[in-house]
Amino acid sequence: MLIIGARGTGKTTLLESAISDLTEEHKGEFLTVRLNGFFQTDDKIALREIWRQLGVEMELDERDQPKTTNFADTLSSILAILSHPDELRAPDGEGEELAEEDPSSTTTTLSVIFILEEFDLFATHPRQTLLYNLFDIAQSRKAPIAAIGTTTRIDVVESLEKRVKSRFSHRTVHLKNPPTLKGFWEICKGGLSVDMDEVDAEINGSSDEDRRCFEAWNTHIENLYKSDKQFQRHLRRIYAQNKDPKSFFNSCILPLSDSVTSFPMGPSFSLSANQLDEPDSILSILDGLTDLELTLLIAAARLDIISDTDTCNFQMAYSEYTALTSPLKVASSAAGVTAGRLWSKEVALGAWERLAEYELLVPAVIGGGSGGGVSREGRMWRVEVGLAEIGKCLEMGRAGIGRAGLGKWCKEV
Amino acid sequence: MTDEMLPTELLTTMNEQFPCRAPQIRRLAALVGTDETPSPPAIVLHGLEATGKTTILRTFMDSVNASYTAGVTENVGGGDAGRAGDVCALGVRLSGVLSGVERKHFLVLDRVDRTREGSSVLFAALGRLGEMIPILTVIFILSVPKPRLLSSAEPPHIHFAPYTKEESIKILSKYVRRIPFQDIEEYTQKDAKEELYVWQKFCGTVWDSLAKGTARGVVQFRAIVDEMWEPFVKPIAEGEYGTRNYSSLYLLHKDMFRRETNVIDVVVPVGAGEKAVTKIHDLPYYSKFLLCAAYLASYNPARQDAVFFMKNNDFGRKKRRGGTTGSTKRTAKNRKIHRRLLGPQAFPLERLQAIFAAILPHRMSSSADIQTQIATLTSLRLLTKASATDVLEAGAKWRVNAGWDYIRHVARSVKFDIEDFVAE
Repeated sequence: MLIIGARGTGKTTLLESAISDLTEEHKGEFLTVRLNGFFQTDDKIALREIWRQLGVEMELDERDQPKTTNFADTLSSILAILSHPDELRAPDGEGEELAEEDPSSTTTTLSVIFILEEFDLFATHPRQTLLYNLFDIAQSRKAPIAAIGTTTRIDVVESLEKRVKSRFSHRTVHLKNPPTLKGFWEICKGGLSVDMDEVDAEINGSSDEDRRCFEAWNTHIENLYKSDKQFQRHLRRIYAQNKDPKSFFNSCILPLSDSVTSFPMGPSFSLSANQLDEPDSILSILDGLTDLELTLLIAAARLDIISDTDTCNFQMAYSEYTALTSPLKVASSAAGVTAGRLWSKEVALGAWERLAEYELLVPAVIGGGSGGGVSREGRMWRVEVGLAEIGKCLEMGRAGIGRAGLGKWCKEV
Repeated sequence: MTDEMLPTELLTTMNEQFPCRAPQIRRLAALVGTDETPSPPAIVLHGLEATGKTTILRTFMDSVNASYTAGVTENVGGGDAGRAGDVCALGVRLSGVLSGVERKHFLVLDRVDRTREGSSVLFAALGRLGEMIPILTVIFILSVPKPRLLSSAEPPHIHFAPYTKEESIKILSKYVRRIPFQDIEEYTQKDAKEELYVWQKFCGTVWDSLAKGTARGVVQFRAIVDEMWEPFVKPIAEGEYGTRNYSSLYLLHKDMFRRETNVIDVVVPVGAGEKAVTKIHDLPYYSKFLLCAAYLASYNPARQDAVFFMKNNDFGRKKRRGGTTGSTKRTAKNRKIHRRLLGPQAFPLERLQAIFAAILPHRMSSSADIQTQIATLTSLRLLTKASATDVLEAGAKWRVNAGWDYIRHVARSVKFDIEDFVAE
C-alpha cells in the first residue's frame, strides 16, 4: 500500500508508531526492512541493503550471502531463507512449493514488512525491478511480505510500469495537512505541551511541585494561543505559508532554550521573528553583494527587458553598466561622493564571475564546461532573478543600507 | 536545569573573540546545546564568504567539547562521497560506529554546495542521515542558500549576515597595524590610541571608496587595507603630518583611493591562462590577415559583405572612413544589441577565404599555404570550430576566438585599417 502526503504531514511518524504497536503485540514474529529512495539509488544497492538489514536481524553469517547472480534469484533466495531457515539452500522451485504450505503450520516463518520511503524514487529505477519483484511476491503469496511506500507525489501510481501497476494493490492512504487553523494548533500544542499521563508513567515519584510546574506550563501555552496577539499572528503566518508544524517547532527552539532558566516562573516567549527560518529565495543574498556586483546584476536584468532576450554576456552587461553609471558619475563627482563609481573592466569581470559563483547567473549554454570555446567575456548567461524582484528588494531595504538609489534603475527602462 | 545550560562565560569569550556575531553564536548554542539537550537532525549554516561560518563553528565545537567530524566536501566531491550509493554505505558504517556511543555526534560538511558531482539526491540523503541515526546531527555549511536543497521539511537555518561597514571596521580594529615611526621611542598608550584613531578613519575611507564597491568580504577588505596602509601613513611616520589632521592626509593621498590597482589583485580571480592570451603571438604575415578576416566574418553580418569588400564599390569604405569606432550608445526603445557585444558568430570557411582575398593589399604569393595557416590558427585556439561536423565537411562553421583589442593590434602590425571594415 501507499501513503501519500506532503512533507511534514506525518507519514513516517504514522508508519513508525504503527510498527512499534505491532512490535509490542507480535514480538519476534516479523522483521522490518527500511529502505529510502534517497539512499538506495538503484536496485542493486537496495538489494544489498535488504540483505544487510535482514542479516543483522537474523544474525546470518556473511558466507550465506548468495553469489551475485540475477536479481530475481537473489531476492527469492532471500525470501526462501525467510520462509524456511532449515532449508537454506532449497532450490527455487522447491522453495516456492514449500512456501505454499500453510504458514501457520511452520512456526519458523517470519513476515517481512518492507518500508520504502520516497517511493517515487524507486519508481525511477530502470525497469523497476525491485518494485516488480516485491509486488509480485506480495501478490502471489510466495512469502508473507508487505510493502509500504511513502511518498509526496500524488501521481506516483502513474509512474509505475504496467506490469508493476497491475500487481500493485492500489490501496492508498492520503495524509493531508490540517484543514483549519485550529487543527494546526492542536498539532503544534501537542508538540509543545507536556503530556501529563506520560509524565506519570515515566517519572514514578513525580512530586507535586513538578506536576504543578508542568500544569502551569500547559496552561501557559494555552493562554498564549488564546490571548497573545503576537503569538497568534505568528501561528497564522506559518499556517498560511506552509502548514508545516516543523517550521513552527523550529521557531520555538530559540525562545524555549532561552526560557528554560526561568521555567517555574511561567516563561514568556515572544515569537517576533523566526530567526531559524529558511530563507525565502536566493534574493536574500543581495544584501551581501558589493555595489558593483549589484549594479552589474541590475544591468544584466535590465538587458532582459530592453533587448528582449533572456541571455546575455559580460560584454553586454558591462556596456549597459557603463551607460547606467556614467551620467551618475558626473553628478556625484561634483558632489564629491564616490557612490556611482565606474569600475574598470577587469574588476567588473571579477564581480561578474562572482555572481556566477553565487548562481545568480546560470550558464545558458548546455554542457557549458569550456563555454563552447568562447572567451570569458563572451560566454552567455541567464539571469536568475527578475528586475522587478531586485527593485522590490531594494525598496524594502532588504538589500543593504543606502542602496535605495539603485532602485530607480530597476524601474526606468 | 540551570547547570546543564551552556556556561555564560563561554558565550562571552566567544563574543569577544568574534565581534558582531552574538546572535549567530547564541543560535548555535541553542541548537548544538549540551549532551543532555536534543539537537535537530540537520542544521544549515549559510552566509556569503568571509562571514565566519567555519571558524565560529569550529571554535564553538571545540569549546563545548562536542564530538564532531569535519569534512570539507569541496575537494572530496569527485571521489567516493560523490556517488550517492556510497552514502548508503556511509550511513551503515556511521550507525555501526555510533551505535555504542552515548554522546551526540556532529557531522560537519563544509561547503557542500561546491561539491562537483553534487546531485539533489545526494544532499537529500546526507540530510536524512541525521534522521536515520538518532544521535547524529549533520551540519551543512553553505555560501548560497538553496531553497529545498535537502528536500526535507525545514531544517533550522542560521544565517551569517554579511558585515556592515561599522562591523567590518570594528573587526579590523582588532588588528591595528603600527605606524612605522622612524624615530622609535617608547611605545606608549597614547600612541596606540592615536594609531587606532588613524586606523579606523583609514578603514572607513577605504570602505567608502574601494571596498564597498568591490570587496565586501572581511578578508578582501583587510587585504586591501593592509596593502594601502604603509604608503598611507608614510608621511606620519616621517613626521610631516600629525595623527590628527586626517583630512589633509586624505587629500594628499586622494589619488590612491581613485586607483584600482590595489583592488585588482584582491578581487579579480586569476583566470586560467587568460592573461597569457592577451600577449600577441608573433604570427606570419598571412596568418595575421587571416585572423583579421576571421574577425570580420564573425562580427560583420554576411549581407553587408558586398558593401564592405566589393572592389569596384568604394561606397562602404568612404562612408566609414573617419567614423568613430568606440561603441556608441543609443537609448531607443527595445534597442538592438551591439554586434560586438553579442560575441562572435559562426561563419563558413568560404566566407573567410573570400574576405581574406578582399582585404589583402596585393596578390597573394603562390607559395603561401593558406589551409595550413588556418590549421595553425585553430591549434592556437584563435580560430575555433563552431559546428559539430567534421573539419573537412563543406558545411563546417568556424568562429574567431580573439577579442577586439587583440585583433586591432594584429591589424596594426600589418598596417591594415580594420576599423574601416567593421560594421557598426
